[in-house]
Order: sequence, then C-alpha cells, then structure tokens
Amino acid sequence: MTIAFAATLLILFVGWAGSALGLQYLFGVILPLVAGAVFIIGFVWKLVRWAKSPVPFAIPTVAGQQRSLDWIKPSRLECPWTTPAVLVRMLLEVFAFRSLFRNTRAERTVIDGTPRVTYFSNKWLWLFALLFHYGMLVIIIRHARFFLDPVPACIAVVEFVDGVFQIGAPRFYLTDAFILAGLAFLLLRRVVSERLRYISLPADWFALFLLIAIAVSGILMRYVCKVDINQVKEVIMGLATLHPVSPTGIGSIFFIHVTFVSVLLIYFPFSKLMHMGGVFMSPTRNMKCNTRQERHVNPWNPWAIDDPQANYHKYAEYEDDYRDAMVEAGLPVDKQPEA
Amino acid sequence: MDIAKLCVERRDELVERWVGLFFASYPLDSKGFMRTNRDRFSNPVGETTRIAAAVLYDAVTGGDSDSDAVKQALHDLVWVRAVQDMPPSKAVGVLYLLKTLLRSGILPECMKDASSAKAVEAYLLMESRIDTLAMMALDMYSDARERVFRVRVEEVKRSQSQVIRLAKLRREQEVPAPETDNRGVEE
Amino acid sequence: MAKMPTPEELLAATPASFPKEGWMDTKPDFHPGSYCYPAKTDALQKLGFENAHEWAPQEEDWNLPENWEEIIYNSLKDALEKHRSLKLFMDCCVRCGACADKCHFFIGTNDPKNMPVLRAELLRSVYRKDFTTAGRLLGKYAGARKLDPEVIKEWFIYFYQCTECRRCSLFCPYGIDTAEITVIVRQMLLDLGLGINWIMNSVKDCNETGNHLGIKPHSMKEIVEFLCDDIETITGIRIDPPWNEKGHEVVFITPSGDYFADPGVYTFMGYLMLFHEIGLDYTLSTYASEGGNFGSFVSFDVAKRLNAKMYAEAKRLGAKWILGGECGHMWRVVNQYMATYNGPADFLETPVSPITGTVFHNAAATKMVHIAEFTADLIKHNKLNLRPERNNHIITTWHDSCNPSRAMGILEEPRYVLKNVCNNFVEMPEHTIREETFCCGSGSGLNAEEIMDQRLRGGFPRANALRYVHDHNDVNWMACMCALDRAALPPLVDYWVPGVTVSGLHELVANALVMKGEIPRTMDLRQEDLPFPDEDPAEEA
Repeated sequence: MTIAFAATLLILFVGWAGSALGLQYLFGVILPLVAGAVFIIGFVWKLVRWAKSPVPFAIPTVAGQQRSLDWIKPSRLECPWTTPAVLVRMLLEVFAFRSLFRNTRAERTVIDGTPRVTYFSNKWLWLFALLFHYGMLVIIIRHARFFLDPVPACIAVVEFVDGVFQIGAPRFYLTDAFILAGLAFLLLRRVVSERLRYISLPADWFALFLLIAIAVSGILMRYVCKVDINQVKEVIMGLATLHPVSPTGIGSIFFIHVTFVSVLLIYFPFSKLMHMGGVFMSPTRNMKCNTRQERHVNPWNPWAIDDPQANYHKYAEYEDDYRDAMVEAGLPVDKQPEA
Repeated sequence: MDIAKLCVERRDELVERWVGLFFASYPLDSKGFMRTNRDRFSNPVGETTRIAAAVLYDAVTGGDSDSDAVKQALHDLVWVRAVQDMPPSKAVGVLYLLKTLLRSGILPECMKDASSAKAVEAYLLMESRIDTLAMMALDMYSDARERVFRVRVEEVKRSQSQVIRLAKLRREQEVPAPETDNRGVEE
Repeated sequence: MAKMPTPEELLAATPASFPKEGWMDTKPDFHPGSYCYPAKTDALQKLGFENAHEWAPQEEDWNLPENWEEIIYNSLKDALEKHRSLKLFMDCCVRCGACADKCHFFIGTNDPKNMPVLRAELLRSVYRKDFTTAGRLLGKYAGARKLDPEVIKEWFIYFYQCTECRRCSLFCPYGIDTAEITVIVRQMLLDLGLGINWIMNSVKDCNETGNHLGIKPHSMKEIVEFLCDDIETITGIRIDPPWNEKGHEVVFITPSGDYFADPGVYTFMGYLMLFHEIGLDYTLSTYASEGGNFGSFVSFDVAKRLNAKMYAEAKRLGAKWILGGECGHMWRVVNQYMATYNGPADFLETPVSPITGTVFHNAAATKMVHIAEFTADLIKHNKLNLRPERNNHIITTWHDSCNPSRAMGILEEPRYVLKNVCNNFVEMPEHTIREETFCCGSGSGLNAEEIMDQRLRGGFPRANALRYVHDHNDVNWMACMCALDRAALPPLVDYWVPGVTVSGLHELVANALVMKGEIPRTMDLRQEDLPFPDEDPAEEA
C-alpha cells in the first residue's frame, strides 16, 4: 500500500514539476500523445495476445436448469443455449455486473420467538462497483466535449442530466460524487477488511490511488483551481487532430491531471484493468450451454478415436490381455482363443 | 455483591471475548471472516462457536440452562474442533480460557469487601463447572476422533464391499482372490 | 520447579489475525493428514509420465528432475498457448474478494490460501514473473515471485485442496473458473512426476481394466451376478444382464463405484430392475465399464484417453446411443468435453427413448442421455407402475452434486423423479442447493481416506445445511446422483449428522417400482425390512 501511495505521489510531483519547470509542451502534448498511443496499441496487443490462444473446450458456467425434456422449463438466461441468450447473459454481466449481484448471504433473525433464516443480499460491492464504473463512463463521455467541435447534442444531454440538480456554479455533476463514492468504498473495503488487505497486491492499491488522484485533480480543476476551459479545449483539440497547440499559461493542476491520466493510459493495458476487455472473452460466460447438442471443435485435438496414433487402451489390446478368462466366464470375444 | 447479577451484566462482553479466544486458537485464524460473517450457512464454524459459547457461559455462571442443550452445545463445539488439525489440548483446552476471563472480569468484584466469602465460594463453584465441562469435552473429543477413524475404516470397506464378497466366496471355493490393489488400506 | 505454561501460552491464544507476513512468505505444513499419498512410480510410468520418480511429501527433498524449472516453464507456456481461459484468468482477476467465502474449503478450514483468489494467485505470481514484463522488472511489487521448490510444495498442497466444484466461478464477475486452473496446475505437477496415488492408481486401473478398482472382466461379471442374486431375493425376479454383446440399441455406462461399492450397488440394482421392467434393449460392457474419469481431474490428455473408450465401445458393439448412469464428474466430461475430445460420434444416432418415443435433441451431438432425464421421461409418460408408499419411512432431501448442477444444469429432472417415488421431500436451505450447492468436500479425486479430517472440514458447509433440515424437518435421507458423493457423503454424514442415510436416486426408484411378476416386497434394496411392506395377496384372500 505504501509503495503504491508513494508511486502516486511521485506522479503528482512529476506532473507539478513539469508545469513549474516550463516543460508544458512535454507534459501537455508529448506525454498524452505517447500515452494515447501506448493505450491503443497496448489494448489491441493484449486482446490479440488473448485471442491467439484458442478455446479448446466449451466450459460455460451453468447456473440454472438445462434444456432437456419439453415439459421442464429451462432457464434461458442461466443456462443459455442460443447465441442471443448468451449475448443477453453477457450484456447483463457487463452492464449490470450480474455475477456480483448474486452475492448473497443469509442471516439468522428471531421472528416471533423462533429463529428464522433470512437472506440479505450482500450487494454493497455490487452497488459501489456499479456507481464507480458508470460514473467513470459518463465522465468519459462528458470529456468528449473537449475532443469534438461542435459538441454533439447527445453529450449536452448527458451533461444536462448529470448536472440536473443545478447546484453551484459551475454546475455540480452527479457523476463526480458517484465516482468518488465508488472509489472511496472500494478503497475502504480493502483497508478495513482484513481478508481483502491480505489478498491485495501493490497493483490493487496503485490502480485505486491513481483513479482517485485523477478524479480529485479533475474535480479540483473544475470547482476550485479553475483553469481556462477554452484554452484547454484548444490544446486537446490540437492533440486530437494531431496539430498540437502550445499549452503554456494553463494552471499546473491541468498538467497534474493530464499526467495522471497519461500514466493510467500507459498502465492500463499491462494491468488488471484489462478486465474491461477480458470480461467479453471469458469462456465461462460467452459460450452456449448446448454442449451435448452441438460439438465444439478443439483446434489442437491430438487424435480421433480411429487414428492409428490414438494412444488410448484399445479394445483389441484389452481382449488380448483377458481373452481366456473372458471366454471361460462366458463373455463374448471378437477373436477366439487359439486352441 | 450479587455475583449472579454481575455475570448476567457482563455476559455479552465476556462471551464476545471468549469467542475471540476460540477464533484466535485456530491455526490460521481468519479473523476478518470468522468474526464478521454471521451467516450460519456460509460461516458454520464461526456461528457454531458463537452459539455454543453463549450456552456454555450460562451453564458455567449458573444461569438457567437445560442440561441437554449444554451437552449439545459442547458437542457441536468439540466436534467442530476435533477435525481442525489441532492437538487435543488446544481443541478442548480453550474452555479453560474462560477462567482467565472470569478471573479478570468477575473475581475482583467478588473480593471487593471483606464479607464476601460467600461470593468467593460461588465463584469457585463456577470454576469447578468449567472443569466439569472440560472433562465432558475430553470424552466428546475422544468420541469424535474414534468416529473419524471408524468412518475411515468403514469407507474402505464400503468402497470394495462387493469385491470383499467375491473374495470370500472364492476363498470358500478355494480359488485365489481377485486381483485388486487393496487401495486405501496401505500404510 | 520449572514454570508451567499457562493455558494461554499453551494455546498460543494471542488474538491473532491473518499471518503477519504476506501469503508469499508463509510455507505449507506437511504432516500426516495434510496431504494425499504420492502416486506410485510405475503407475505414472505406465501412463507415460516421463518424470515419474520416488518421492515423499513429508521429505524436505522431493527429488525433482534436474531441469524442473525448465519443465514447469515449458508446461505453463504450453498451457497458456493452448487455453485462452488460462491467459484470461491469469490477467483479469481484480482481487475483489467476491469468491473468497464461496469456497467450502475456506469456509471449513479458514485457511486464507483456500480462498479461490489466493489459490489462483499461487500460480499467477509465477506466471507474472515468467510471462509479464511488469513481473520481470518489478518482481514482488508487481505480485510476482520466483519459482522455487517451496512453491511447488505449496501447489501440491493447495491444488489438491480444490475439488473443482466451480462454485466460485458462479460469483466471479469475470467467470474465472478455478477448476480450470487446478487441472492445469495438477497437469504441470504431473509433468514433474508429482501426483497422488488415489487418482493416478484409479487412472491406471481404469486404463488397463476398464474400472477404477482394477477388477478383471470375469470377476466383474461375477460381482454383478451377486447383485442379481440380491434382486432375486428381494423381488423374486431373475435378471441376467447382457455383457459386451453386439447389436443392442443402448450401451449403458455408469461409474464403477456402482458395481463394487456400498451404497452405489443399490443404485446399480435399481438400474437393472428398471431396465428389466421396461424391457430396454441394452448391454453392459466390461471394457468401457467406467463412467467416471479420474483423468479429468488432472490432465486433459489423460481424460481424453479414458473417455475415448466409451465411443470406441459403442461403435464396436454397433449400438445406437449411450445411456449414462448417475455420476457427477462423468457428466461434466460427457456434457462439456466428450464430443470435443472424441467426437463427432456420427456412428451413433440421436437418442430416442424406445419406450416413450421421446427424442433427446439436447444430446444430438454427444448421443448420450443421462438416466435421470430418461427416467423422468418414463414417469411423465406414465410408463412405470410406482408405489411411493414403500418409501414412506423416508423423509428425503436432494443433494445437487457440483458437476451436474454447475456444468450441466440437471436440476429439475432428478427432483421430479424423486418426488414421484418418495412422498416426503424437503429442500435444504436456499443458497446451499441447485447452482449454489455445496460440495461434498471430496470431489476431484480427493476422497482418499488418508485426508479424512480435511474432507470432514471441507464438507462441513454441506453437512451443516443437511443438519438444519435434519433438526427442523426430521430429514433422514439424502439422495444424490454422483458416485463420489455416494462414497464420500456417508462418512461426512456419519460424523456430522448421524441418522441420515445416503443413497442414489435409482435405489429409491427401484424401491417404489412395482415389477411385473414380482413377489410382495417386504424389504428394500438393502434387504432391510420395509416398515410399510406390500400386502400379501394370499393373506388378503
């Protein structure tokens, strides 16, 4: 944890120092461009790396009744046997974190003097994970206003909804609160629960600190140490169109924010954050549960049962081992023993 | 000083501390899990311990308790601990830790005024009850271990019941026994 | 006098928490009862494992082959190249901890390395060191560690404390399947010549003789004749099942525990009685007499070899389809692997029940039907004369075995059958049944008796739920359809919930089955007196 925290502070210092030392061009232009490139190439590279390994076996996790006899109601979602059903299962997994939602626990309560078992779903993790991820998604969409000119109407709608409470000026965005609440919960959970602290690696802390640093620096930039938004947009548009504009004169908080984001982009493809891509490729979730109905082909299947190189113990060898005893016991044989 | 009243007052606190000591005696205690998860199905070891500790505390401090319920609680506790990879002293001895708790939580109050001979006597009676429980636990522990070994033997027998039947028949017919590896009965 | 230790000192009862040092620095403890006996060298050699050697788990030196690091590296590299699942599972875990308290071994033992996340980290840490840039550069700070013999020992302990039940994968947001990781690590250990006797000896015997006990064909036939004697005693009907005969419609394959072991034999008698009653055209096979596949616990290659016999035999005998008995992991293999391993089975036909005409489209590729599906269909079409009153002394619950529920989804069929043959049925509490069922604690080849304590701990969550219905609903019977369960649950139940009997589904079916020409039943398949015997028509008259 300390190491991850120190690393985050170091990034903060570097970002600040960069702007203070007048290296705005390096930190405002070159670093984000490089980071963007690393992110895209790294992400694709990782997906390709995964895709290069085949899926030899169909191993979906079945979580409900199979489709067998006509009069037994199968569970379309928990044991999906068609591609659309698998897609729905996947979408619910990706957009609603369905497996986490399953996390339940029972508690004993006493009702009218008799102990009962009641079930509470243990859904805090699900709720805050959802808050964080959706907060993050909306914030990324909102940021598109810096990359696009003119700003598309849909982004304005997102911004309107996000700031619907119309508190403060500039208007306070709900998602800022969501993402912070989500991250704070995920961090607190790791700190408070001994079990989680035990399994946490420096990488787990680092990802959280980094995301918190990004959110906090962004919020500071919007509400506290305000920077010239128009100039920021000019710089970013320059990056997006690959015609960089010199970013001098913007407050150092901007550079800190950009440095953090750049580090995140660079770090992303090489870290557990790649679960974003991985969740779509997990064979226990994206395969059909019709494995007895349709044969799944293993590309490296070493042999078929009739191949000469098949190395299982064949019937002929078995009969050779036991022929006399089999005949004596009245078991039929393919080859009669020599008299 | 009314010692019975005091025991009731301090019940929750002392039971909680005692349960803590139970958990701490596990070879790899997962405090975070055993102590926080109150689900009898997803944390059966923790919940069994909790329920049993409260019943046993009442039995020791002389609160109303049904002797079958006490036996059952002690049985549940000991049979869980008997297969937890710990020596007998650890599995059963944790009962004695209640003495330490009582000595710090109850005894000083008993000794407060000079005319407390009766209270001390009552206190000693409580400690004796712990000894009784510990002896009962010892019996239960040895029953549990005997059961473990019995189920091991029976499992082996069951796993080859028909093979043994065939072997017996062959022996009667004086034909050599069938060729098995007699797995599970080696060492 | 020397100072006596206080009870606190003796118990070391300092309010400890997780071990102070991180999990990478705690070492596994080897003492009798904490490990399974090692596989015999000749068993491994016969199966073609080159590095089979003499070793003992409790020894310091495991006599690993000289280039063992290279072997592991290549083995892992090979697995990564062959399985996308492994690569993903190595990269994707965010250590959210949702899986932690879903493992029955963690629940029962409280050993942190039994949390599925840490079990996988045991391999992940090595993977990061050898196969990721960050791990190579940052080492421990990136969660990587160097492979040393201690790591191998740790793998041996903890990957043989996973029953491949897949309960954790149900709750994982990325569907990380620890069973997949466990099989691969066990395969890597076998590449070093490290395996356990209980599994590898069964594999060797199954390969040579066709069954796990190494019983030769003639003895096998004789044992089944005993069971037919018992059936005759109980029902007055003589059954003579066909063996290895060509030209029958169906080959019936069930785990060998059903032929040889109590209480599996009663289930086997149940099959024979059912087949006789409906006049099924079937044959048994001595060559493919083992439905179970212990190879599937340790290696995809070995699993394929053992599984190949089923199709090879069905083809040789010219059968139309295969009927499979009650087994757990056998059905994981049949349902998810068999067609891939050894298909396409185009020499067989899509199974059709000869009694009801029902076409089993769901088995169109594998051509293998589960007997619970088959019997449920018979009962639905009213083809069986059942007298469930014979089971009236039984209050039964149903144990969903891991593989049939989480790798197949066969949940309603057995319940339908059970409710039709037994008047008193009680479910165990929610979240301990169906897809969230708890393992018996002895799956994946861990039903070796030398680790009985460990199995009793691992099976405690299951037993605890059973005890709940035993105490509250007077449940005295637990039916299941898995041969390992039938072997492993009796000791578990005997320890935790005495007074409950474990049986297969078809034992209860056959108890209730009224057969044409049978004598009035006075005893059940275990030859125990029926509390509610059939009325004797002679007396009635």
